[in-house]
Amino acid sequence: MGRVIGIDLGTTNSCVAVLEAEEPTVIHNQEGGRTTPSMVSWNIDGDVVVGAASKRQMVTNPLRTVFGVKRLIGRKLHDREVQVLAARLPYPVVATKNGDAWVDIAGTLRSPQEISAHVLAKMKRVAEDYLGEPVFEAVVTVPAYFDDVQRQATKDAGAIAGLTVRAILNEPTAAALAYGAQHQHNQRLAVFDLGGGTFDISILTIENGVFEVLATNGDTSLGGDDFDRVIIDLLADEFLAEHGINLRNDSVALQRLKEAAERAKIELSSAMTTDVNLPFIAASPSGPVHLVRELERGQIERACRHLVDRLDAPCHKCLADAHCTPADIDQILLVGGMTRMPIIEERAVQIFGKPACKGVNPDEIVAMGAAVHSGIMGGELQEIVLLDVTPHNMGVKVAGDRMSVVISANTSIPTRAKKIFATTEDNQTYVAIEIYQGENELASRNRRLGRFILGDLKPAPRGATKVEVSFTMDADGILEITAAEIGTGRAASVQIEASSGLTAEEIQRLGQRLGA
Amino acid sequence: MLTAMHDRLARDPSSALGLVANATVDEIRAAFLQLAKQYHPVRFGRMAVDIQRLSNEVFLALRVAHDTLAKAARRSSGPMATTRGGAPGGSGAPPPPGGLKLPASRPSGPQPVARPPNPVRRTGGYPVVIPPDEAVVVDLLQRQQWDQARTVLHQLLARDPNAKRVRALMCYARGREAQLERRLDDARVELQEALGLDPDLQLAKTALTELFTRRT
Repeated sequence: MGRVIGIDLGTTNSCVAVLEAEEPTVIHNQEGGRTTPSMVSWNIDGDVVVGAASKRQMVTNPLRTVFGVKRLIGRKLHDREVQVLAARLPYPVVATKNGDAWVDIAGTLRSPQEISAHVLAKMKRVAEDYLGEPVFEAVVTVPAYFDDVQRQATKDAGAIAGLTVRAILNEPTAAALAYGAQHQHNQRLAVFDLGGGTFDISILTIENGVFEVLATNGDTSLGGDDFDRVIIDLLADEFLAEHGINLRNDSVALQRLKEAAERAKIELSSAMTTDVNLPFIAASPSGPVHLVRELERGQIERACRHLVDRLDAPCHKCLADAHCTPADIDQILLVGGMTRMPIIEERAVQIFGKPACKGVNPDEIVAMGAAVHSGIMGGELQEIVLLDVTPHNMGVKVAGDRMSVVISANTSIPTRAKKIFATTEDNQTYVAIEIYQGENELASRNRRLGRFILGDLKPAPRGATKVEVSFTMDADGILEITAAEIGTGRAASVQIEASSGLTAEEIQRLGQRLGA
Repeated sequence: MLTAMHDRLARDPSSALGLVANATVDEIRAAFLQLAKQYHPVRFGRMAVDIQRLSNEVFLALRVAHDTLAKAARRSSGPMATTRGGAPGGSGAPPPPGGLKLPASRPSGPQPVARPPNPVRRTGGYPVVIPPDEAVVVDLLQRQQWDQARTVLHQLLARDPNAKRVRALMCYARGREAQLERRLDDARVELQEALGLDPDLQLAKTALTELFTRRT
């Protein structure tokens, strides 16, 4: 059997690692970088450019350069968060027939899965060059708070890239695996993961090599991009007030502003002040206009405060779900480039009352964890294993659009749970079982995963017929549901395959095109 | 290997876990963790689909066996046989709501607790497991014990993340700290935020008045 590689498919950057002599090793890309920008460009002549080369085109080719597509994958355009996001992206985002958010590249609609596949294929090539052998299998990480559709879409992206995704691993858990593989003493960890697009918080214990997630929480639309945007707004608003020119209306200027904002944010993580210098950013009747100014750390920290505040609630909820208080946490693990920002680290330390653990590279640890997981799978690492949880409630829609939860969030998987439901009408001969995922009490506000019907029930007065519904979730989070009429034993079952909106044929066709 | 384990778990869970009669909760958990390493479905993740399915079933049975045995052991044993106080919890039922009080030495007899909740650790003189109320926080704040106040505030927020008054007090604590560190702009933002959340927070009003008088 070939090797299984570990890929951290990030919002802004991706990273690949393999296990070598029981140690996870991050692999350099052809350009010498240990991480690769998760960006894909289509040139005028139709060539596809991935990674650093694509990032260089951001200014010159903004309409055909896609970044941050992870924030669109497996989501609908009508989701409020997606709409807010799409309104600010330089490339056009459109809805497909079923509402999925896709990207319009010069008239060709491309799915986020296909775009992510280009990044995954690049990571696959990086690994193959290093290993000197073809690679067909991978462990890919996703934010812990991703729902089933987003996970399936990520798997499909792997399939298009020619990779069988053997496991979808949660990013904070992956970080804990990489950290814990080196520090195996029993402890309780809080993994605080703020990346380019998402925030995850997980609390887990390491006990005799068994990593057990106690609870996980997060915000799938809070990340470094949002901080960049605040800085962009700060600079653009000021420029508008001073010169009467709105830089946001000029896509090239906006790209330069975005790059400058990201750079300023990174510099202000170590320095107290930084210069933003964008000569010839715009033209006015009296000649060219330049944007030259100094930014202070305190300034952007104040401007970003509302974002930093959004970190609190998921952490408190996670502590409560794990039945912990901050005093029970032994160690905070900071993951994701954003945690380099001092105000973020301060907030994490403030919430958990512990210093953050040093000596971990927040950009690489997730990929390293994916490689560790591949080693657990392959049997190289016999002495550790991971017990993860499902991040969302799973349930059935009942009368009045209520969500009746069968498997609650933060249940350790694999798991099986049963619940009994009754008919609501006299002589009801069938029940439709609709399966939803999410935290809202109203089923329709949650994500619908599927529906099936149990028919030929024995006619009886309402409430007399009882149906037992059993949910089985396997270690990969795949759900199988059976329903049986109590008394007659009549049963129906369905395996819920979340669909990312692509059919098997489409995945195959896209894969061939990408491979060609 | 999987089929054999599945049968053994169905026939005699105790011997399947390799336990002697009257095993303690500790021993049961240790056996579970050891077998979890061998039988977790991830170990079969690259094998045929039906083997993966079977591995899930075996693991589910293993977990049921652990939960059932641990429950029985807890019921039948005295104080000595319980798990180590407050070590990472198992996969059993969550602790009973509100059942956070756990004396360091337990009385003998039946225990309704499914797994021991967090240990009684002390921070700042207050046992963490019995979260104090706002009055305590206000007291700590007035005594300028910011760290302790914040620890307690975080516990209160964990109980109810939306409690406006608690959030206001949190902002107040941050604001005061900023003020002490001469970060006056930050202090103003925090204190104003505190008043935004709780317009009647006298502490914040006083602090803001002070801040503005000193400034001018």
